[in-house]
Amino acid sequence: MTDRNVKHVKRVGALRAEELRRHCEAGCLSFASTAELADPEHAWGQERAINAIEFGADISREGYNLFVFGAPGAGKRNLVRQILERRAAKLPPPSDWIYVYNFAEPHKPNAIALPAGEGVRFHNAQMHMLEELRTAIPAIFESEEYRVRRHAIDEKVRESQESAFAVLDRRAAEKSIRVVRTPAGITLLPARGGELIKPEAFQALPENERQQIESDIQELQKEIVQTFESMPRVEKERRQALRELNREFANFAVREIIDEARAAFDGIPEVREYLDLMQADIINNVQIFTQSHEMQEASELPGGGQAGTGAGGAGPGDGLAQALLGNPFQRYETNLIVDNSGLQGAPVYYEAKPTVQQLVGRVEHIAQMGALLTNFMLIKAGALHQANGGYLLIDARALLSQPFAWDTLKRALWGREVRIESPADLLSMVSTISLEAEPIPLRTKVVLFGEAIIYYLLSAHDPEFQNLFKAVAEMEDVVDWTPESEAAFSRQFAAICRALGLRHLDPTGAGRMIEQVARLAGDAEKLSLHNGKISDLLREADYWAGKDGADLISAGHVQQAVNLREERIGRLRDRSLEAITRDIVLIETDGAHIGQINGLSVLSIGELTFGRPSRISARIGIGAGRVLDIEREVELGGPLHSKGVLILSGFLRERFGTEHPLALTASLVFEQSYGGIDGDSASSAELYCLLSAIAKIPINQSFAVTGSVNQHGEVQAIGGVNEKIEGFFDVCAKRGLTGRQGVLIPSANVKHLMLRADVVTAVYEGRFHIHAVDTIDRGIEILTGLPAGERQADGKFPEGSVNARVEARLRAFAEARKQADGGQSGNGESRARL
Amino acid sequence: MSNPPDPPQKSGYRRLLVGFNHQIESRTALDLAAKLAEAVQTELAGVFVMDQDLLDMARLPFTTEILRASRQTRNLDPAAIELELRATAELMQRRLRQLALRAHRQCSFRTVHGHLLRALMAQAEAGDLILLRQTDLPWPGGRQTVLAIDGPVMLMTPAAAGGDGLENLARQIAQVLQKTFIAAPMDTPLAKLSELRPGLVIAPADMFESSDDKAVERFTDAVRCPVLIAPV
Repeated sequence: MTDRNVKHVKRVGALRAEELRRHCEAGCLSFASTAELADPEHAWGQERAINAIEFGADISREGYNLFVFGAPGAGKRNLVRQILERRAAKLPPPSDWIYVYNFAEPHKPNAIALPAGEGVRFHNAQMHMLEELRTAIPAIFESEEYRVRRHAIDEKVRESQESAFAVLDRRAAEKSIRVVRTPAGITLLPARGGELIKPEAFQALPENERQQIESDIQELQKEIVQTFESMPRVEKERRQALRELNREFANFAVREIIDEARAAFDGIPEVREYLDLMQADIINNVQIFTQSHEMQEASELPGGGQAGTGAGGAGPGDGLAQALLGNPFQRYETNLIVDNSGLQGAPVYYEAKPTVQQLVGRVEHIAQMGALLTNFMLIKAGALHQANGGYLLIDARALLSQPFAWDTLKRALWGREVRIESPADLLSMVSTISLEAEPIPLRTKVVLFGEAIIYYLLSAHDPEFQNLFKAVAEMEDVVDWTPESEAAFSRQFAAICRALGLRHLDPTGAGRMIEQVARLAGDAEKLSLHNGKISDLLREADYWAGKDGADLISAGHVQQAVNLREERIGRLRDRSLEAITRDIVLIETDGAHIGQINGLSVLSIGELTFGRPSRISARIGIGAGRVLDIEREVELGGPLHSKGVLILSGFLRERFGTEHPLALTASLVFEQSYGGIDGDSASSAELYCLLSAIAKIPINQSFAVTGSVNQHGEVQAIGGVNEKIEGFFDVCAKRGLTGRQGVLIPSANVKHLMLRADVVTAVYEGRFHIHAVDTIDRGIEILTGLPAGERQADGKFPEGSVNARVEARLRAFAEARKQADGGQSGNGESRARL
Repeated sequence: MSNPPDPPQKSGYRRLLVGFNHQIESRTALDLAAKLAEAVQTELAGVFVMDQDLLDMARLPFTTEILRASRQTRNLDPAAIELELRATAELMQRRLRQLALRAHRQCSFRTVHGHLLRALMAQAEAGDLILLRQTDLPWPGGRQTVLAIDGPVMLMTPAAAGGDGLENLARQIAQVLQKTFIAAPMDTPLAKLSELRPGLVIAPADMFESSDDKAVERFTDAVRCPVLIAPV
């Protein structure tokens, strides 16, 4: 390792080449291939997050669901999954869940919990039982015993009725009357010798005989009506006797078969209770199992036990449920919605599409004859069912983007139960009768993961969030670059290569990867923990290694991957550079100008991030002490940029405005800038430019400047320093490096330097320069070649210094302003007060 | 499990004639007739007999009708009776067509006036099978007319030669209906026949050649099951 690998001290002045990029020496990595390295035991640098996740996973108190947040690609889901799977393996598998028919209220299916693995056993037992019943019940109703006893009931009634009708027949015969059927009933007609008396013959009878016949018919008619009226009671008794007979035989057939299941699931009271109800229902609805005409007749009787009528009477959805059940035996089946028979521990379930229905389950429907029909067998489990007794992992952004999903999840967590709801129910759009499946108790720990902004927004705007997600884990973005972390990252590379089936890396490849990981962090002392980007880079390096026919990924392959990736996505960067080199965008890289400087900015578009120089110019005149930020005036400058301009105004007042008013008006502008500008990283450049304009001292255009400034004139750190330097270097290199060109950066940013090799080489060869500055005075000296000058004991700056020339010019402005104002002193503000 | 029956074979009989009037369980009789027509692959011919005696006697001024369902009484009106008989015939015809369509049989339907048995015999042509059933009693809820084939198929074996065709017919029906086949001599006493409890009796037409209507009724009442009369 080089001396750059030691902790940085504040560095000021022209930087040496070795200060511009930290190297990971391959010799420090003690392996020939990452294939030799074992997977890391835990995610390096994420100890705090790991502890938090383990705490959140372990604590079993209400509201201690877990929110894990960090940058996209930080490996949140994998980390959480690994930790939870380890813990879940030590927990017992949770219960299986089945839905069964509710015999009392068919539209409200009942849920029953069974020990893990028992659900499928009960389901199989149920199917076997049903098969047995479908054989045994018809058999017993076709038995000779049943036929004889049924026949006896019929015979008894028949005999009773026939004896009554025989009496009527005898009375009719005695009176020469014949009983004849009509389409709707019976009629009594006069007869003689067994033959009907035709109307003509009847009319020919004597009057008294006719009257006698009519009288006899009327009398017999009354008796017949009385006999008829007694028939319903007799028929009712027959039906009752038949019903009792059916129950007796059904019970005999059913009891033995169901008793087997009772014995097999003796320890589960809910199952016993269900089997009792099932037995009663089968006995009441035994006609489902027999298709005989006789049984159908019995079932059609009032109170005879229509299909769908439970032991406790008909429920409100009874008719609907019966109509829905195309298969009448389905009511005796079980819907095994959660089967944990294959689990070795508690479930860890990741729901990729957390819609309402995917979360809490759904009731499916079947379109039939234009209607949507359903039953309890069409209930489908949701993620909360599947993860019950374990852990449910959900991407917070995906959850929040699904309508009603967040509220539904909260309701489930608050209520500690899974209640199947559909979006239509939630909108109250549908008011038809549907299934209301019994809610299932919820014992799931929900783990949300997402970006920090989501966590903070939920915390700020949803008062329930903090109470439901009391456990929080925050993923680190970066970790210190140390020899230990180099070793840890090498193991991480090995794990990724193994997991993705990539070639392994040799030490040069691993070293180059580590350097690139530092570049991703934008810091020579830190390494990025962005696993997503690291994996992508490894994939692409593997690709180029493959093209090269290499067995291992080396530094060259990694560099090739970096370079070609930048080239692939760099079209906009190249167009921007071209616009400068063709003098469409005016940037000078040589010579000197008053009131003009090269600032540096960073553009981020999609994956592409690059630095670009911009010309900043300043113009001054006599005025009221105001620095005009043109970007702000035209609403192209953001608040941070405006703040920077106001700060530099403060610096001017403090340094030059204590003895006399700042009778200055100045305007600052980013030339040829047509988009928005924000950030304060150009405030030092703007101040240099302003000082140049006031003092009439030209600035060397070979330099570009970045850094923010405070009111004391100290230059402060900025972001994107590497991209900014490289952006100006590219412009200079394109035009030809003169050996005079360079960039001024805040000394606080030296520790962030991880520059490209070509920039480092140019600096090493003296063709490009990078200066670390900590004050405006140091920077203006480099830019103008003149001393800045410190205020001396007499209160004046040294003759010929930049500050002396600035102060002299400002004093002249003040005098001129005083004269213009008719001898009154003060600035515009005081005049306004007057 | 029993083997599925072989597909029906064409028997050589032309039509299966079934008669009904307002007095019988006509709908069930039709079902049975359709099943047998399919079994022996014949056309299905329905004859609805409008009871002339009933129409005549309805003209008596004092005749009243006791309605079965409501147990109310009302005067017997000849026009109303005729209308109800025609409506019953219409329903029967519709039902006959449905059943024939389902059984893939051709069908015909006629409405005649007269006495059921006599009218049916009068409609029969050579090669027709005639389905008879026991007579009904007028009383509701009394003896049930047996129309389901709930026992063996019994052949009344003719005394003369030429019964092979009949036996083939009987065996074919038994096989299609998955019933056992038995045979009994034509001169078997009625009481003995009743004890055999047949589900369907197949009798040669000459068995009733010299019998009157009463004798036929006695026979059908004794066997207590449908009777299929077939030409020898």
